[in-house]
Amino acid sequence: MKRIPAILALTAALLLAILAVPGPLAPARVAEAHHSGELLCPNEIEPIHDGILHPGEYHENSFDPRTKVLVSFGCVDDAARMMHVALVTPWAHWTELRVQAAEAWNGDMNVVRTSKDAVEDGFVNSTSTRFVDDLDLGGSYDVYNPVSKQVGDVYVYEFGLPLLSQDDLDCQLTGNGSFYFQLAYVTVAGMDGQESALVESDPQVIRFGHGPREGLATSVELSLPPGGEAGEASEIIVGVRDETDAPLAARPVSVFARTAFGFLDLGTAYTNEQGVASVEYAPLGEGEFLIGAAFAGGPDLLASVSWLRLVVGPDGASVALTPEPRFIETVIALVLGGVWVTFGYSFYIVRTALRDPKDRRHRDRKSEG
Amino acid sequence: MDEMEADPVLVAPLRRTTWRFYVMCAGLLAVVALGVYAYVTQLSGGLAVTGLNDTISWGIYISNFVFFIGISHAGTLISAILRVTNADWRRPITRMAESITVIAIAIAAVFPLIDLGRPDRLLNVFAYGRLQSAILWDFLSIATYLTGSILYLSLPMIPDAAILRAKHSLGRFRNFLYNLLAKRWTGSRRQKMGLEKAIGIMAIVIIPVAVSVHTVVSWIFGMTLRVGWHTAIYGPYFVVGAIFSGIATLLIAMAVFRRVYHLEKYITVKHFRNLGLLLLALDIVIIYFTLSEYLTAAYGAEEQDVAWLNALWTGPFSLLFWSMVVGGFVVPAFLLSWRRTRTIGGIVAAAILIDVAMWVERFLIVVPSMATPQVPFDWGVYQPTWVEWSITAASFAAFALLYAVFSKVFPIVSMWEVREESQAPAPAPSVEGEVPA
Amino acid sequence: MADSEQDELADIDAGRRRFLKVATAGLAAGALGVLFSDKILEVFGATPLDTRAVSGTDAQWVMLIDLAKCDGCGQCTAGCRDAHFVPQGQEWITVFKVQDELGAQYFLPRPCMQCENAPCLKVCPVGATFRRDDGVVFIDHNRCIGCRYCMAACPYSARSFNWGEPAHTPAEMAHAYSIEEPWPHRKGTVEKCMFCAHRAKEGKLPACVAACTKEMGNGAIYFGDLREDAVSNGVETLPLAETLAKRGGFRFKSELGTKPRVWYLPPRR
Repeated sequence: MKRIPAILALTAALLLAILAVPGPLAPARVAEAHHSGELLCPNEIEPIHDGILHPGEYHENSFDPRTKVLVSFGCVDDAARMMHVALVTPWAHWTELRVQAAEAWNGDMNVVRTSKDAVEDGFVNSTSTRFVDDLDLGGSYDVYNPVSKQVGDVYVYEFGLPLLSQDDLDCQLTGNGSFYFQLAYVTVAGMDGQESALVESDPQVIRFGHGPREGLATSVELSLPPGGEAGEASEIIVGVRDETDAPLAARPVSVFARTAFGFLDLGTAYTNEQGVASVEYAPLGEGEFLIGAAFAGGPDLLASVSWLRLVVGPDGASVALTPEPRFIETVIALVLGGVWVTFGYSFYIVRTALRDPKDRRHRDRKSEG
Repeated sequence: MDEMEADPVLVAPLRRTTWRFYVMCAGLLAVVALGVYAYVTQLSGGLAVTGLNDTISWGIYISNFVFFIGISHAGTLISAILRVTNADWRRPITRMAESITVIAIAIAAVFPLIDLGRPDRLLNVFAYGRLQSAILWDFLSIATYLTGSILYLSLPMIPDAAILRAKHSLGRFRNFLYNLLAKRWTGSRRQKMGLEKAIGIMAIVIIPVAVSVHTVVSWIFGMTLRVGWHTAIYGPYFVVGAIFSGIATLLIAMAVFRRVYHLEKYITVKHFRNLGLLLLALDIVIIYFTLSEYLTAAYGAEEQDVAWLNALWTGPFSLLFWSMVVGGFVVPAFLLSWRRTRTIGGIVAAAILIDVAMWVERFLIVVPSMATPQVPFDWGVYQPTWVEWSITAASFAAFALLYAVFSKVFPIVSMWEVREESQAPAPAPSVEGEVPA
Repeated sequence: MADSEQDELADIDAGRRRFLKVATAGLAAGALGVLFSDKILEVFGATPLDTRAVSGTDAQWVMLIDLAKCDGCGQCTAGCRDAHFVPQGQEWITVFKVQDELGAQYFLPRPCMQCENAPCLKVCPVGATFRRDDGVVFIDHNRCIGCRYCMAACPYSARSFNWGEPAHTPAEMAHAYSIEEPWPHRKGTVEKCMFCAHRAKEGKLPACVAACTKEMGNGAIYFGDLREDAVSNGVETLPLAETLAKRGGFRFKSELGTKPRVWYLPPRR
């Protein structure tokens, strides 16, 4: 009984301490953070920009459920505090990674945006919310060695982003701590400056610090049935393994299909003992549909994603139509044609009766006789 | 009387024209001119100058179209059916009827053009016409009917034209027409046989064509899914209604010409009575169809049917509806069946009531079905403007004008057919075409 | 005399028979030509394919409207009007207020249903209205003659007519007319919603959907590709077949057999 007031006092003190701490850790002050990752530099292996994610290259990653982009981070402790980034994205047009620019959060973000044709360095903040190129603002291009590689429908970009840049418009992060990042994509190609569909993730938080890598890389494998039929459910099988090839059991995988205006959530399934889960998808028409499966990671496990195309043929019922003979038009043509022929016939009868030369001859013979 | 002698009573209107005729023509022309001015207004301002709107998008232009196609069935019934059944009493009135047909179709065909939003694109119908559309069926059947009717009107005019050719005194224009028709006509037996055969063929073929025309017009409405329109009875209903209004129009024309051209000897009470009986028979059929249509809708009581019926019976259209039924169907039935009212005057009065009622009936076909809401919004309101009324008046004036002018170019009673009835058929010796004046 | 007469009659009969033979042969040939006109055109390489009907996409557009979410604010009508310079007095998507028989009231937005078995298509005499292979029914304003038969035929009263010359803004006049983006609008032609096909091919949702999802709306209108079995209102993507089954989705006047491409979810009571 006597301890209760003490416990209450301690709780109150802790609460006050948390509320008092400034910066990104303050709960619900700026934005809700969904991912609290920790990126500890230095990397043992400096990431090689080759468009392939090797196990151990990146210490931390995050799969964003809204944009379906997998972003991986690795860093080297040098003067510019170079952070290596890999993006795995299904978007051929702009995919953006925005990183907090100032030590204390003020809404400014350094943006690197990638597409299959270009990589650009830019800036957004709360007043100018659309991408503005650093070069247009008098800054410089500070993306280090960007490399892009297309694997099927998916684009992998690897580049370096200095956390302490020469350019004022870029990141100026000197210390270790929690910083914001955000992902976004644009669905419209080449519509710069015009209204286009922009999808943004929620801002997420990552902490920079020093230390050895803590999480194992994982991989997701998608397996799809060949040639399904429209209207019939296709079974999508997902397997999750870690970097040692061991299956990961009882882990949630989310499966989704890319649609014209967003992602259709096909469900979240838990892997079984063999690290395998399955969901069903029944497209209603024929076509090719991009299916993605993602494992969001967990304690000591990095996230991973896999994309694959599902090919669905026409449903058994529909038959290709061959041009049919035009029956109705023929009947109409016959009936109308018959009527007009009759008109012509009557006309012909009268014409020949009126034109009959024998009549005149007959008349002449009569008058002669 | 010599073969080539013209009947003086029948030729008199062609030879002498009083000032009254010219005054009447001037008046009719003025009305037509007003209609033309109204249409020019519509061309520049678009159909916004009418009372039409997105809810009621068809109005009196379309109902006029249906009405005129309707009265065009006069010629077919009288000439063709009576000819095929060898009813001799038809002879004095065949040309009156056939000319109504041609003029009515010509005027009717103009109304869909007037109703178009983009008349400048009319040629698209030829370039891109789709046979699946009832409008195309309409176009084809009306074109066929017009051609057939012109032929069917012209052929029996040949012998009369030959007679009139002999009289040079009728002026260059008319002589040109007579020459065109009958230059080689000699009246020989072979020519007569050929002509009779051709007319006989046309009489037979024009009947199904006429039936198809108004059936196809009814299908423009019947092939949609609108309340009141999507009913199987529309085909027969329109055809019977057409013959009904056609005979009424013919009766009015008969009365007018009989009085103005002194044709009492040719067009007798018997003609009026016979047509009056036909009119009565058709009236009964119309009442039967009307009853059938409305009883079926009312009994089944589908939601939209009930709304439509209420609009007709007790709603905004009730005055028009009951005037039409009582004044146009019931009262004429009595007028035509009582012996005391079955005089020329009574029959013509019935015919006038019927024609007016049938115009109202065409209006009630087009507008109430469009006014009944198909989706949860308000009832449509349609108030025709001066443009629409002017064009309507102009169409009637044009009809009267063309008809009057026609009666001054060709004898309105077919001289040779009437003569054939009174004479025994005899082999006619060929006679020189030229007769010294 | 009698002989020559008989000869003459025989000649006449021969002439008539000839006419009839030629005419009948011509009629038969013509009828056969019409019967197989498509195949004949194929042989000559002139396919009767309507090139306007090729959309360049495999999508089959479909719309879902959740009546439980619609509050009748009319932002969809306004958004559509602004995006297409819709002439004054016209509404391409109309929001009806429906009174339920048992007293409850709900709102029903009605765009063009883009029917698979469209009555308006059947009746157009010049083929000015046609259905593209992505399911959208368009109007070719270069061809429309303004007969308004399609308006009489549409059971949803979804079409409007430019009765007069519509009022134009400079922005509208600066645009080049195309079937997908039919402005400047023209006097004497018919107008209607066409599922914002011009926006869909850029990955944007239709104007009404976007307007319904922004500040004032509830995201009641969803749009998507029927093949993908998914519709989105810009915020969430729903599985179409499952949602319809779960919530009892229906189509407006489906008993008419028009097979509309707009589905509704019932208003909650």
